[in-house]
Amino acid sequence: MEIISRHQLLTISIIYQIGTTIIFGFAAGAGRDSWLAVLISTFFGTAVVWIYTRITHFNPGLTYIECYPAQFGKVLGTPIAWMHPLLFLYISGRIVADIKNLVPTTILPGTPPWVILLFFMLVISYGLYSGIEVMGKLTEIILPIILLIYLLEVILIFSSGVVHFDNLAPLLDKGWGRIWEVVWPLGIIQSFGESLALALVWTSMNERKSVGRTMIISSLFAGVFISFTDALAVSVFGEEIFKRATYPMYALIQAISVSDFITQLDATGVIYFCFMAFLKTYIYLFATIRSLQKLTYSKSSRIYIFPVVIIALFLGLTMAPNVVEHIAVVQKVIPYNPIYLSLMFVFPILLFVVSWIRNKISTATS
Amino acid sequence: MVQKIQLEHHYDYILSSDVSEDLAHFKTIFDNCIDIKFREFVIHGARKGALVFLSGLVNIQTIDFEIMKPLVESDERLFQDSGSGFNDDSMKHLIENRLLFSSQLSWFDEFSDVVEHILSGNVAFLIDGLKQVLIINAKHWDKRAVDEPATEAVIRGPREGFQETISTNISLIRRRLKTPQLKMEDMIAGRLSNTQIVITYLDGIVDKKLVDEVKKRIGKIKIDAILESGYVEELIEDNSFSLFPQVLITERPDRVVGNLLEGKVGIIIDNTPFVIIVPGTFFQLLQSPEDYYQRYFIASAIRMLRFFAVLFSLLLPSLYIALTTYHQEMIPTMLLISIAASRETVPFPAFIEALVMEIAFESLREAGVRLPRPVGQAVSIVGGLVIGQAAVEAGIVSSPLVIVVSMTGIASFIFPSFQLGLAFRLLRFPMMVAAATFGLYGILMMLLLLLIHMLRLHSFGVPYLTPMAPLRISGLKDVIIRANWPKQSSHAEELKSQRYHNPFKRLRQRQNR
Repeated sequence: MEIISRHQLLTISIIYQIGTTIIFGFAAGAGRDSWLAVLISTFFGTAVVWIYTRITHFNPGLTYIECYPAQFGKVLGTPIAWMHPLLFLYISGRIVADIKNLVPTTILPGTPPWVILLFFMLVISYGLYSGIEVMGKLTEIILPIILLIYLLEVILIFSSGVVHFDNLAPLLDKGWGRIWEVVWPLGIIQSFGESLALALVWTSMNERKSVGRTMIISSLFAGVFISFTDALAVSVFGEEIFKRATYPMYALIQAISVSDFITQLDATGVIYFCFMAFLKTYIYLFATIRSLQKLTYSKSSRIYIFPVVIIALFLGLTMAPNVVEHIAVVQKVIPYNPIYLSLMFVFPILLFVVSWIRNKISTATS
Repeated sequence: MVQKIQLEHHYDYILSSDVSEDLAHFKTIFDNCIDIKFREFVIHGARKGALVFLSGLVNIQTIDFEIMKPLVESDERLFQDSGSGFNDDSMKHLIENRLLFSSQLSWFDEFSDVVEHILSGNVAFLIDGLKQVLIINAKHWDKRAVDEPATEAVIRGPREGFQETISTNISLIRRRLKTPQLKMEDMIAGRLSNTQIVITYLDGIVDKKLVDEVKKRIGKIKIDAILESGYVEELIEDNSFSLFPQVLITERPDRVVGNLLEGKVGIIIDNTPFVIIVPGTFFQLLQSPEDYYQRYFIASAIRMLRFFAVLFSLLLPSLYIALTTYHQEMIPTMLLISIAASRETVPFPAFIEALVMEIAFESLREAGVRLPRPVGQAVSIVGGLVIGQAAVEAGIVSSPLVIVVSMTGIASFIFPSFQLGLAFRLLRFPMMVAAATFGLYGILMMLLLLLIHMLRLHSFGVPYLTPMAPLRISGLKDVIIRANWPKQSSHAEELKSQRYHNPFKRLRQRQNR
């Protein structure tokens, strides 16, 4: 069994939760109030993440997936548990599709998408083969570098003289309506609800008790980070462009121009998007493989690596015919999909209540 | 104590008390060995004696005047005095205390032991009436003087380097650590070469598990001969399917001592000036002993320079390829124009251009190493200049590329560890292929592959990238910078912190399993 430390879990979760929003933006629908929407989503999102951590806390020694059969009984719990790897696999397919849409259109116009994805999946397979411990150490090295580059980027944006804080005012001129619209359910699903996949990593941690605290810290950090980036993007572009841009954060990097010398850094933006996507896909595939291993009671998870990677690659290549449709799905369809909502909110809350009551009863009797 | 070894031939002979019989056996064993000398003589008519030794490994003066002379000249009454009470023990006593002026004497019963000692340069003394053979140390051979290490030059610091004789190397270490805590354990490996290997560590600082593991791995070595420490390195490292050196190799006694003080284990091998230190981690390979002798600000700055050098030597050519092929927009306009202008006459794509130049540069460097020293320098400098200049003027390569290649070359010379430099020299090429195929995206993916690979590596149970990953803040101040001495935790504290974040935990787990 591989062990990751608290610090490694923290870095994995931060990178995972910031994830691809570093390019796609977050809560763009709320316009200039998006930063506020992000903060509110962070608040509720952190609560949801806390519920996930409590569930594993009440069921020590079990992975999140195994809690369903354990608490709801085999008949009811097993089908619910089986839905999780499918969900994870689907989302990883979505991220692969993100890469497929973004990389060829921005930095590698002539290269066929499948070659790019093949290379991507190759590196992921090597990572999966090496295990979660290696990935923990990898994020430990990379997170400081990413934060440093981000800081540099912020300084460069400010020195480019394109930041106008007036764009952020007036606050709430269109009321709370559009904020709630983006907070529920998309804002909570994105980044925070998706942390469900991280639940499969928690069992690998050496200090199981501090999982909750670590996850809350990382959720808050990621929330504040995204909120700040959103505010920055709005103050550079103004509300209208921000709302309409496909990749608002990508555009943000394009806005950098310091004395005509440091310009056009978009490729670096794509590069760290790729890294974020790499880690996110990695975690989803890891969660898929770990769940499959637990659900089929296999000793080794390695036999699943190859088929799962192939399926994710295939999903990514065939998911959406074009980028507009791909993004429309994430904004209009997924948040209202009953499977998503039930797996991320309804079932966990039920499971939480059941586990909590059982835990109370067992502590009372003993 | 010399360990018993497995000889190629098992000798059925047993030592008898008859000198002529034993000598006949020795002569059969050392048939056709002209360097083995036999010297028979009679000690005052009373007893027959014989010496067997390897000429060339012994000091003839010692044999003549300190062994032969006292034996031949000895008073015959010595042997007659005790009469019937004269037994083996009194005989031994007599020889040890009255006849031989040598501080290192020992008796052996086994034929194979005696043969082994003769081969390692000791003198065997056979005497009639005794079943045992006396081994006298008279080793002496020509050796190189203690010289300045060729591969690890420093500006400030001791100028002594190891040489090929193991006893000299041991003394170089011992002179720097005058404590009984410094332990040296003897082992032998190599079926035919019977190479002496000494494991050295500081008792009380080192983790005993590590010492046991080292001994276990060296004990498992099955090879005919060990000619250099590289053999041992390859046979004991954790992961041989890797470009990265997982042990530290040094020619400097001060570096060995510094590492012993950190709880490492040194492996000294006979006949090579290179000592192995385990466990070896990546960041340690980027350190020079001089970092600790210079002022710490300077040393910290130089350490950071080295990190840039690592990145440069790995990435510079591939970044050039990626930027000029795929991401021209990232290059500032004026610079782009000048690059484009110089590339105008070049008929090749950037990748081919860079590949040709890199291969040319690597060939020059390799040629420089193999050629005799004075010629070598000239070839590398003149060759580099002429080829670079001529190639640019002929329009085969562009001048920015020549700058890139030479900067890469300089960066790869900054590596304090030659082995690590070699790894990065080679890694540059797959990096360039990735950059030519996928641009910056390819470089990122290759970097991830490389990092994952490095994170998978362990050296004797210690993760290769400690203390960066897994992160140990207290360890960082001796990695990125070189903190000044008082601020580096005192010895006891350092030990405590090491025990707390026990780097050998993993090793233990593996052994328990």
